[in-house]
Amino acid sequence: MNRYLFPLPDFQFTNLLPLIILAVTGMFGLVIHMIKPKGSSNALFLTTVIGVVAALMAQISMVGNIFEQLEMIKQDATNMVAEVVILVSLLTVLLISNPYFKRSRIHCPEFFPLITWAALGGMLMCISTNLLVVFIGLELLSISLYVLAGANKRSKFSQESALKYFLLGAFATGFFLYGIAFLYGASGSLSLDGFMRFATHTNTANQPLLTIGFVLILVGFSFKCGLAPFHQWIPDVYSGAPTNVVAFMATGAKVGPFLAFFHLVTEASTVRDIGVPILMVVSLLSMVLGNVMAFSQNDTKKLLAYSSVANAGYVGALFAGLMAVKSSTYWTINYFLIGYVFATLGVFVILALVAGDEDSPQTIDSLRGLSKRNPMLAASLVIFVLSQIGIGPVAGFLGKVLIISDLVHCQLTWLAVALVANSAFGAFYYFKLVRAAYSDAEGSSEISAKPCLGTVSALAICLVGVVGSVVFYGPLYNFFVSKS
Amino acid sequence: MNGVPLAAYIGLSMFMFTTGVVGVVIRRNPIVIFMCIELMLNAVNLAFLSFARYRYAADGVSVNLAMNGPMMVIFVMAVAAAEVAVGLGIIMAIYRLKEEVDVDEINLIKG
Repeated sequence: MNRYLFPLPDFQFTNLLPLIILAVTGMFGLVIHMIKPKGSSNALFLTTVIGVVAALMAQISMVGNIFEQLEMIKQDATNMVAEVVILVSLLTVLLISNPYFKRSRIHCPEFFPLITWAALGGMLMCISTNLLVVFIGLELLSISLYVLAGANKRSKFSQESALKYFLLGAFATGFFLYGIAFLYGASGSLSLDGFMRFATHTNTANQPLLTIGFVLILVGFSFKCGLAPFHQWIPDVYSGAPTNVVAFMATGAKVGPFLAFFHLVTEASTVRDIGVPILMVVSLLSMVLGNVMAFSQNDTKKLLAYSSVANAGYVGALFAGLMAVKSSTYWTINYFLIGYVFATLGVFVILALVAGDEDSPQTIDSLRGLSKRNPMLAASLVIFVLSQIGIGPVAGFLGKVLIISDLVHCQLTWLAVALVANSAFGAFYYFKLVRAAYSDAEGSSEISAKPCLGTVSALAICLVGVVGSVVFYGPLYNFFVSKS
Repeated sequence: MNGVPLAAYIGLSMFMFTTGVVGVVIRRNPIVIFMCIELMLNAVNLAFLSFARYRYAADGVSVNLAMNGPMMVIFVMAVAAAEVAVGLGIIMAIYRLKEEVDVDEINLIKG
């Protein structure tokens, strides 16, 4: 019998070691749960944390390993920073999850494998240059999060948010896929730089297909990133889902879609005429709507949801600039995401700690008297809020300055002015959180707010992220430039 | 030579997609909404297949590139199956709590 050997693709699997470790960790977690279905989730928690730390170490040891394979995967400095941010935010969320689940008596062992796979999907979106792989990553991320939004099986709010997230997410996926179909029809290729190749020997008959495809993909990405006309699901889902899941949805799960969106807008110069105006309108609408709607919220998670819409608007403005003028300042998106992710994560760590009864939305009053109960927590809340507003020597401030200078550089000064005005307006509602934390605890629930080891380390990670990225700005930037 | 032009396939696909979108917007039952989403995904698959065949036959694109479309269709179907599993699970869970599966009644949280 003739022995046929299937050819191996020209692919270095060791380059994907962090992704492989994450996938295996999730599967291993399922096996552990199968062996001990009724046991406590400590073993599962420990295994997952060890796996994620291993993946993080593998990722950091590979920093500087720039490669491109099979026109599917591309690793460069921008993607690497984003992947590290996703892994660190995953680790932080894991650390707060175990105590949070115990305190609010949610039994959800599936949480640990699913959130690991969600992070895997986000990382896949970061590094891929092929729309098929972007789609797989997006679905891995979204389907895991649909389940996780309903992690609290006894809460109607949690189930309702899962249903809303699922229906609207699947709807958005339809738009995204239809967009890919049209881009495929126009350029005959699924790879992102297919646009560029298409642009060189352009065929005007295909221009309508390209435009329709791009607009549809834009709708899909706007849904997933939470940009304005398509943001309605965000406050509803954030308000109902368990706090630790929301912490991941608002931070780590946003990085992947943002990066994929970023790769798309930097490649799609052929549809600049239609793409730039749409992105400008969408980002302006997100900033204004996000900040105005957040102003009147009394539900903390909804307030942060609208704040995340506003932040998505700032990133959208940067995308409009990048599309208008093809520049190479990829550092801005990375730095802004670092600031946004760690400041938001920090606020959520504190919210998860003071969360009371999970069967009703958490109001700002739950933060009341925090400065009396735990001054350190209140102080770190101030730092995170300052970073979100963008004042003082914190990451959020530098991130916004970078975006503004990029926008001015791209001749979009009016958008930069709108961004500044919006940030100033945003200060009012962020300060509501601080004011509650420093006011008296009349009528508030008597939660001790005593952080355990996991929460303290999660808080430390966030503080290091927010403050450390400013202190070590120079070395970080030089390192980034030398690698890209 | 007689046959069907590409525009006919794309037209049908667009009709299916629009029907799906309209259905999602106007229907109130989560299961029917979900069926409409499936209709949208089928429109996507039809578009992929017709573009792939068209590119291969009319434009002389290489087989490798033309295979991208059918490959995508397989992945879309697999992912749609995963979405069905998760979606029906969520609808079951909410039904167990509320005995009510109408999206107008599911409105504890208002945006």
